[in-house]
Amino acid sequence: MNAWLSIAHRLLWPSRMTQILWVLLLAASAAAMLSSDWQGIIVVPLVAMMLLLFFIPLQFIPLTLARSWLLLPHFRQHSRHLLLAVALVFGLLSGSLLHLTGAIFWQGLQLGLLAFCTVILLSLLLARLWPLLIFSTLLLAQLLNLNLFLTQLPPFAWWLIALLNALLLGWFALSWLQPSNVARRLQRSKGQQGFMPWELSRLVRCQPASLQGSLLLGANDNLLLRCCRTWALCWYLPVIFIVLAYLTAIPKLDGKLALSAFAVLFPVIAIAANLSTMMLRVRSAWLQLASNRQQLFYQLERQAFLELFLGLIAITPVILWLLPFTTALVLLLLWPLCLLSHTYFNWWLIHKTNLLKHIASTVLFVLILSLLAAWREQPTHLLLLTAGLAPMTLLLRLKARQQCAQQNWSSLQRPPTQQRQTKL
Amino acid sequence: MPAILEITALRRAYEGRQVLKDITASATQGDVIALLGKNGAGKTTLLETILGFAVPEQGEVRLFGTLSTEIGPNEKQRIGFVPQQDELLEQLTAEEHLKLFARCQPGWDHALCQRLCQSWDIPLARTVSKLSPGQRQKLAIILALSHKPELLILDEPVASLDPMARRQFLTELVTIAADQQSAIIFSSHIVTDMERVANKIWLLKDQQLVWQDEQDTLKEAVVRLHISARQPLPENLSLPHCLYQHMQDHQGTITLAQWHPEQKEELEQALQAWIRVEHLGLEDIFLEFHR
Repeated sequence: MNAWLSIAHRLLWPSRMTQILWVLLLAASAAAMLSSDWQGIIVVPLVAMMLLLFFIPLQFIPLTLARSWLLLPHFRQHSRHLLLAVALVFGLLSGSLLHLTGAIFWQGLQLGLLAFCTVILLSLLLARLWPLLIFSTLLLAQLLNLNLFLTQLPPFAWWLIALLNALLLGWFALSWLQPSNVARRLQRSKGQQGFMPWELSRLVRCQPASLQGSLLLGANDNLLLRCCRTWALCWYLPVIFIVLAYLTAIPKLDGKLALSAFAVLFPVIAIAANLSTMMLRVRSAWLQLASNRQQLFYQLERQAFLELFLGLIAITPVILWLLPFTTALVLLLLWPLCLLSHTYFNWWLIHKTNLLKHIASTVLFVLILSLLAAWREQPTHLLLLTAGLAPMTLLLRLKARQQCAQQNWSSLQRPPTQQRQTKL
Repeated sequence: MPAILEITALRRAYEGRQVLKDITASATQGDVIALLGKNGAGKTTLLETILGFAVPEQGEVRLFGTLSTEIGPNEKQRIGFVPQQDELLEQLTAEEHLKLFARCQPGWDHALCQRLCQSWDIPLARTVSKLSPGQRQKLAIILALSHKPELLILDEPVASLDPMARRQFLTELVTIAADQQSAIIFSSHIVTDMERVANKIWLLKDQQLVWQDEQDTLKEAVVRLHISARQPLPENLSLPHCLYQHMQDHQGTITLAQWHPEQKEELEQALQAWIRVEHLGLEDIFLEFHR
């Protein structure tokens, strides 16, 4: 029982933060049940619980690649059973949610199981995070057309989905962490080959442009490859939606406010995350950086500006395509400002806990996303937002520069093992 | 001889905890300094502070006359560093890695690099991510050695090396120190290796450098005395610089840190005993300091 609980702990609530979230969500669900309008209110905690489960691959893949964990008695068996149980819970939650919105419980259950199998179990099976990213995008697109999907699907298709779910769950139960494939997984994890857009550099062998650039970026800093990576990041979501719109009856991306805003802001997260990680790489690049402590900030800033410039070139067509012309023009000012302020903010708080940084980044991102979706047709509002963000960015820059001059570079964590192992 | 490294009254704290206290030391050309200390004694912190990763709370570190917090490209080019955990670029092959470093280091010695790669069997065509920990360690050492640094800092460089590679590495270190007149500071838990190559010892204990001198001086100064007396010995002897003592009836053992041969006769007379002086190896000295 202890072993089972310990594995459940690593799988579902590995940090204090997730523990608190679970307790809050369960309490919120219980409180919602007491309310007269419980059907409307309970949806929020249920959806949040389902979203929490999507973090399982992020927190669990590194453990499944660690020999010391694999050797623990019952680890494989318990985690397999637990995941199958969680899949069922996820399906039940999904079924309940759809049932609350007037759909059939059985259909919701099957859709939930399908989502869990394709996103979470597949990521765990392959020990890669790309299924999480790709299928989450597809799921998001599908959710926005859920009514269309539920009504148009013929009855036999649901049986096919149920069969597919059974096959996927069976495949997982029989093959995940079985001795025959564990050795192969461990071997593969040593010489990782990535599939993510920013891993394109692995497909082409180019001479790195500079040692310090490569050490700081953690990837080949060849300009051509940097362009490829940035274009892939900026066009990743739009391309998926173009293909989906072409293949299915899903409406085009430019018709969906929230998704358009997300497609425009998604590269900001990815580029800003890479620029934040750049600070963590300063330690390893220290002796190769042609600057002293006082000049270091400006050198890092130059790298960031180049990334920003490349990103802006790549995102401009996306912005012009997805948004009304005047809004697009304003956004071309707002977009780099968002990226810069996010980067300076992370640099300023580089020595703080990840939790604080993540919460602040999420709040900033959600705020801008909501404002962008709401003020799509009001460029003046967005212009005012840009004007308000500019002095804040300057202030953050000042703070980041001061932090950089005093920073103890050896105390910073290296880029997390998870990032190194899963290439995300 | 001008000092390559000068540390003056250095203090470092980490999250409110004192890690280094009043460290004053220096290193000149030809010094091969072994930095000894228990796990968590502050060896890595000291090495990283020397390299300028952090700003000291008090005191200063000067590298080639420049404050470590202000070192620029000129000073950095004269330093070689092998960290505890290698910091290689995983996506490059070993050969690409070496070429990339060679392009950035003006003093790169291609012949030395090639010789080390051959003698250490580095698979040059293989990507770094596919190298074994030992091969990665060897590559990191080659990268730190090949530009012939004037100051070489190695933080547990031999942890992943096999005995043969370790022996080759130590030989290289001695050659570099002798030929290039570099200063070398290295920490390791394999004390026998340090004993073989180091001419100076820095011993860290309780956040302070409790010993910094020539290895030979240390070995002459730290001795274990085996005492045999006719009458029972006192339970506690108050002796200066005593690291350890154990008395039982007519027999006793004492370890002293500042031994002078003339003390033997004085002690024998005072205790009415016969004393055998045992000179210790570096590992035993380390253990005695940490009893």
